[in-house]
Amino acid sequence: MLQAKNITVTFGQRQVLQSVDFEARPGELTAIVGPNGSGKTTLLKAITGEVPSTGDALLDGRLLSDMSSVERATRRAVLPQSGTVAFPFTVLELVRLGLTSGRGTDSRTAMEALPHKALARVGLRGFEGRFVQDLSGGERQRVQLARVLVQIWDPVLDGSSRWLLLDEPVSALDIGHQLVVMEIARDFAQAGGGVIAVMHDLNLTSMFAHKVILLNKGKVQSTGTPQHVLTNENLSMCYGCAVRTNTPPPLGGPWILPQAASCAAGFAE
Amino acid sequence: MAFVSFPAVKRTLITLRTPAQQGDRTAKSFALQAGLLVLLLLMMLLSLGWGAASDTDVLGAIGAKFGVGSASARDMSIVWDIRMPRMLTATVVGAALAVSGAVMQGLFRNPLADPGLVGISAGAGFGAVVAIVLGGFLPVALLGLVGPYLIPLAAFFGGWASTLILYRIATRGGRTSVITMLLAGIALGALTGAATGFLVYRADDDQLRDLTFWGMGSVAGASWFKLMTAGPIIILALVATPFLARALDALALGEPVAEHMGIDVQRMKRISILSVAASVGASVAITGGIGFVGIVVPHLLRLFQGPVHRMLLPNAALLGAVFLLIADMLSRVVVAPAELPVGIVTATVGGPFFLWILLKNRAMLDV
Repeated sequence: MLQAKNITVTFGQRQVLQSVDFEARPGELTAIVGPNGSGKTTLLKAITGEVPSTGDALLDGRLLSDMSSVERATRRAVLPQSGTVAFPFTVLELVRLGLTSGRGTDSRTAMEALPHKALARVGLRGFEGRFVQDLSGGERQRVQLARVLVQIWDPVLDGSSRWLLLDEPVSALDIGHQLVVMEIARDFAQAGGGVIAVMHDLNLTSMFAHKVILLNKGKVQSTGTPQHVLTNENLSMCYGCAVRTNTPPPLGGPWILPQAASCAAGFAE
Repeated sequence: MAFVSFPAVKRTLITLRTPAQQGDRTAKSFALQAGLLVLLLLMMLLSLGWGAASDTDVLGAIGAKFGVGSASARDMSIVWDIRMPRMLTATVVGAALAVSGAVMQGLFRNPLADPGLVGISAGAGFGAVVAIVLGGFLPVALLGLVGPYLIPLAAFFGGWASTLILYRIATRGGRTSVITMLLAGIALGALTGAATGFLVYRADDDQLRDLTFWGMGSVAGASWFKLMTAGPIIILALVATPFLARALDALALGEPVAEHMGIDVQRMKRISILSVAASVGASVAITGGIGFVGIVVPHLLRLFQGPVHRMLLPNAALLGAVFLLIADMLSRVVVAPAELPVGIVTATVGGPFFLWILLKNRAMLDV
């Protein structure tokens, strides 16, 4: 279980997150949603230690900050929103970097095969020899995902679940690859791992998330299942626009259609 | 051509021909490493036989040292007292400068970082000049303690301080700015240059002779004594660098990502800066500032074998040594019978090369 307790982040004078609490369970995909500037990415970065925060981030009851960097890298992998690569790595060379992170689980030959498996999984088979800087934004994001997957390939290691922390994993992707990536995340969770994803797309969230944390102005607005959280009232209030939600039969979760930007008081002024 | 059918060689040749499709340049890098090793040994030997006294029996002198055959006293002296320390100095310093360049570039995440360009060599030179001019004022007890290591140590601390200052200035919020780094390097270089100039102005004639040599960058003044004082420091620093390879690779993805990948970034930065300062400092102490080796060598290698540091660092050591050995041999013949300081040769090759990289990477500088 990954817990955040009383997380507060302050940039200068501004409190970006105010006493945020949440729990994410292994076996589930937990989505963090909210409007721009609500603190989604900051919350993820507070958990990974990338931004300084007060409060505690605990993994199975242990403070993440108390673990060694190698142990952390063995227990969780982080996909950043975007990133530049300083030197001309090939796709295979970059994905292989995931192998040397944290503690390996398999024999050498099995490890050597992982980058190829991961590339096939993200739909980039045959891209091994391409240079990372020549790829499109969406391809690059999937290369990074393959690297992250290689880092914690087995969702459960020695009886403890491992965690995928994804910051807007589908923001640069076309609809086909959005589904590919979300299915990878869901499969990882179903195999016993834990997934926390910062999401922009509410409909993908509704389709794939087991649990949703809705942030608004640095605070948790609502937590629970997509049906419980992604309601007209919650979304109109947080996003400041009129939405209509309904539930088409095959999806099971609410389906959100933005209607007009003028609904919320204080948003149009 | 019977040897080509030898399975290992054949496999290497096949891998060499079709590596880009696989995206795996490891085999290519190993093949290059083997080639460079052979080339290095050849160049080391050639360097021993290269010079005005062309009739010297090099192999005889080497054999005689180990009790095989005999050689004249003159040949023994030329090979063992003059050329051998010079050759070894060029080898060690070339390796040190190239590896330091590769480490600096990895640390700053930029192919333009070079100890000479950003003022680290100037800082080390300043340290050495301070030791030469002001060393006499040290308490005798302390002088006895550090003795011959005073100049290399001072150069090391000069290089270390400049690297640290540079990194602190250029890095904000985990991001190292290229422009800040280059500009701060220029400022730092000018400052240490001025301080060095002041000390030169104050120096006496004996010290001046020692000092002139720093501006040049030359392996001509090599001796066993200098090699023995600086060599161990350089080798110690070089031995530390392979442990940095994984961290430097991860750092190419940015500091936060490297942290996520289990790298103790602060620790690896400290080790990198220490090893660069040690090897550049010690190199400057015995040869003065030789520029551009650190930028030309790693860049050429990255073009051919890619940026993976596990292969880049050892190959940079080999190619750096080869590069400086060749430059030194050129410096002995260009204006024969006189000798050019080797720094002039490396700058002649390196200057245009640097400009070329700069123009190719212009987009990166406009960030």
